[in-house]
Amino acid sequence: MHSPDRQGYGYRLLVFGAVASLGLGCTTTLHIDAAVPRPVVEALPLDVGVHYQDSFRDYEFDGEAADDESRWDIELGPAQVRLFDQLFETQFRSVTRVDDLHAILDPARMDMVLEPAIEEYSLRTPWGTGTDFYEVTIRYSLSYYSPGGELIARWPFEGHGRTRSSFFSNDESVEKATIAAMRDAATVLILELRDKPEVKGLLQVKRTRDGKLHKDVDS
Amino acid sequence: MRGLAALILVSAFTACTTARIDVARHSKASIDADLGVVVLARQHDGGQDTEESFMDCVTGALSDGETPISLYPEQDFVDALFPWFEPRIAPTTPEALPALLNRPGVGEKIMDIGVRYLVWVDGNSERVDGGGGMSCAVGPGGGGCLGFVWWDTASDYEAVIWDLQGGESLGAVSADATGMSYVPALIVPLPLIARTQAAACRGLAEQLRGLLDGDDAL
Repeated sequence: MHSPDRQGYGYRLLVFGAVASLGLGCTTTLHIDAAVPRPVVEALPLDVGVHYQDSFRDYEFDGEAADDESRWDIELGPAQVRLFDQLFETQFRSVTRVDDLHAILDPARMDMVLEPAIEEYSLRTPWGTGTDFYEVTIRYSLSYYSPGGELIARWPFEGHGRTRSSFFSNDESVEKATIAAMRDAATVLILELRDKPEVKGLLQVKRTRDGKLHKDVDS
Repeated sequence: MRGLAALILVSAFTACTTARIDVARHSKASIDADLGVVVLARQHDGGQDTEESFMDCVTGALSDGETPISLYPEQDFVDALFPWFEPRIAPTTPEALPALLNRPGVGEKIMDIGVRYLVWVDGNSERVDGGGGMSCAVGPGGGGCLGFVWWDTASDYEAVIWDLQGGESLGAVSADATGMSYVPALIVPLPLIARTQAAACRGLAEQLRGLLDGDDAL
């Protein structure tokens, strides 16, 4: 006789499979529209530019969930732009959109240029996880360029989100898990960005430069 | 027919449930009209394990009654203090509170929104055993079910109260409820559901209210 956990799991799989089979061959389309709240952080005394590639602005996950055959078409790009606009505006003294990464920018007015990218979006459903949860992982990278367009560093980071499944609202569950993953990624960025050696180095240079400037002004 | 329907309805509420509630008080609360309480579900691995239905039950029980407690909405609190109560970095012990409150803007934001006590709720309900079987059929002359299904449910929850001003734990409550549910079926299924989650909610909320009210009887 099967254990109660496996019986319950089997029942859930049967029901989920029955519901999923009704849409066999159909793609669920989602448009992620949520915004991440404004972080409670102190801004770093840095002036940054931000560049968004078209592939980031228009990012869409069009594929199958891992370990099952459900198909999803999830539009993420606009929400990601809003996410990073919000994060950068609160993390730095000033933020300027940069349309051309290789345009020569005045280093006196801009300390660095940042370019986020989505490397991968993955989705697991209760069918795949064997639990009651939808799980989303979004892998990002953040590239740091000098004002002259030279790549200095690329930092990978990722966000994880999961949400309990709701019987007749699979798309709502996926949306919630995706937003949870975005919030988690934002948390990672907020915690780790200011500790990156390159950012710390830049702050040290600015402090030294500002210190010399004050000495020149006073003398 | 009406009698049978009434019997089904009454039976749906009469399965047995056993509940055990434990309380530990560490210090005394002083709730006032200007400083509120927020109830948060502890999150693990980027998600919430505690059911929303349980959270709704607890917050409903605390904010109702003769002496309702002023509750700040959970999502509003987490959003207002983003990212410091996200699953990845939310404080797990009251000892972590002073460092959190010293972060730029955090202490001020908590004062602005007027929350003094934070209640963390953790746990869930799950089916731990079960068996039986049932067959149902529908035909031109009618339909019905035949069989017997049963399952055991265990609801285990814990709540801890932190004083955000004092940076200390006020107390903790644990609620464990178990029950066996049955569905015998002879033509019509007759559900007898053990409401373990509801029992755990009632017990937990009652003791939380006692701790937050500074009840000397505890």
